[in-house]
Amino acid sequence: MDAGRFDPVMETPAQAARRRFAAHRPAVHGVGALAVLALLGFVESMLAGPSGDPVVRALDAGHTTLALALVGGTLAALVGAGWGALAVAAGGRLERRLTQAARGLAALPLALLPVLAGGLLGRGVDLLILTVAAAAVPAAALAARATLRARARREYAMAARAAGLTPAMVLWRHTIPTVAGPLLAAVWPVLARALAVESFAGAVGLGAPTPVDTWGTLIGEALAAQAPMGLLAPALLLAAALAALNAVGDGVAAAFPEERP
Amino acid sequence: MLSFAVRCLIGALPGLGLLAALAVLAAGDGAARALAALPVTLGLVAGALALGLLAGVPLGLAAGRFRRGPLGAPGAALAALGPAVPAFLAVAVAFAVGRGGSPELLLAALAVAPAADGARIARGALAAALEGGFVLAARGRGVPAGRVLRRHALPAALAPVAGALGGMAAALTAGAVLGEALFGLPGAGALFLEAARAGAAGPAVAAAAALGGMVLALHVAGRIVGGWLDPRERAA
Repeated sequence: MDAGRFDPVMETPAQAARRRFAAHRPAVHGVGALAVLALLGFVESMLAGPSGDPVVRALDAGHTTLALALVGGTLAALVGAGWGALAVAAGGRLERRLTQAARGLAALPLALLPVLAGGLLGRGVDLLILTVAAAAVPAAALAARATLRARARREYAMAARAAGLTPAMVLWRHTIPTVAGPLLAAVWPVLARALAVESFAGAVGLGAPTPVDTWGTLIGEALAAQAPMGLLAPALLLAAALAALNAVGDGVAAAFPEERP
Repeated sequence: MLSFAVRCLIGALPGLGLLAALAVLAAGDGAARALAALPVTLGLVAGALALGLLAGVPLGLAAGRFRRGPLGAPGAALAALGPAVPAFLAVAVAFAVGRGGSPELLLAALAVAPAADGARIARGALAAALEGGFVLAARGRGVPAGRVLRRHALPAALAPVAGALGGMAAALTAGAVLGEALFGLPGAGALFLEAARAGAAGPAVAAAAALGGMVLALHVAGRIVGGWLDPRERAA
């Protein structure tokens, strides 16, 4: 079967999405790489290597780093999707205002926010997650609004309304199932962004508080100690995780292609 | 076109005014210090943007034009590298490998991210433009292929790169903050980090506002260039 085609007799939309994702090889490798990066720390602690070794510490920091990025990114994705949905649902002047606000905020170097908060309000995990999420929200809101705008006002919704469904029923039965996948693809980049922003805060020494190791704080420690070998492992793992997240995002986007009317 | 440029500039005024007010309220005369240090950071960011785009965009255009084959391979590889290496990571690695080193090394490290971004955006935009209806229409009118590429597809491919200038500058600012502190350059980024580490709210907020204003100005400049290259960008 042609990878792009969707035959409604042979498969459900969810099955088609899964097939398209599986056909995107880099995305499948990305999922595997992320799983390995998250689990290596546990395997290593069973093998019990020397606990001061920079490579061992970097492997250990994997699940903490990815968990922080996942929590911050998910929070940002939810808020951003809500922002975009509110804008599209409101329409008119309110939509313009909400979009302009998101565009203005997205044009600022928001990666400085967690650094500022860490320096002025003290370093804490909760504050770090909140500020990392805040730094990723405007871009997510813009992406969500663009996707929803393109997909939510379609003829099927109008037909369903004409057939007598209430707006809530149209939303629940038609709009949400249609936009959920594309929305996921649109907000997916917040995960990589949250990871990069958190790592930046760690690298300048104002990220996660001291007992918590993330790849960013390890990079920051290595820079402060002028130890190039200590930097190598966390930097490589961070680059690998960012590349994997990006590849998975490409796969998610390929799983929900823009359908042509 | 002129009215679009004016609209862009006027649209940025409230943001710039807010940032200036924030800086003055937060730090008083510290705002002047942040502003005085800004040219160092602007030089780094603008230099890295120019260097990176000059290297990355032609490679990306080649990759968009020759999608299969050896001519497109460097651009495709560069574009794939981009998301994995944020600017601050390139700076950290350059500092560790170069053991200190010169401002030139910092500039080269900062240029990696815009080179990759420029290659990725230019590749996608040229490939999309070549499949676009206006290219087909021009060919149908009998315009020669080379002229279609130069006059019709190329501006449409470069406009999104210009439009992304603000985003690239924002990403570079993080790298410049870390780089100035590591390489000992007296810029607004180093000032920001020093104040943030010391917990000095006023100077830190003032420096952050100065950096934000710089990125906003580059964003507006990029949008105007994008609108000049491609009339469709003026509609948004």
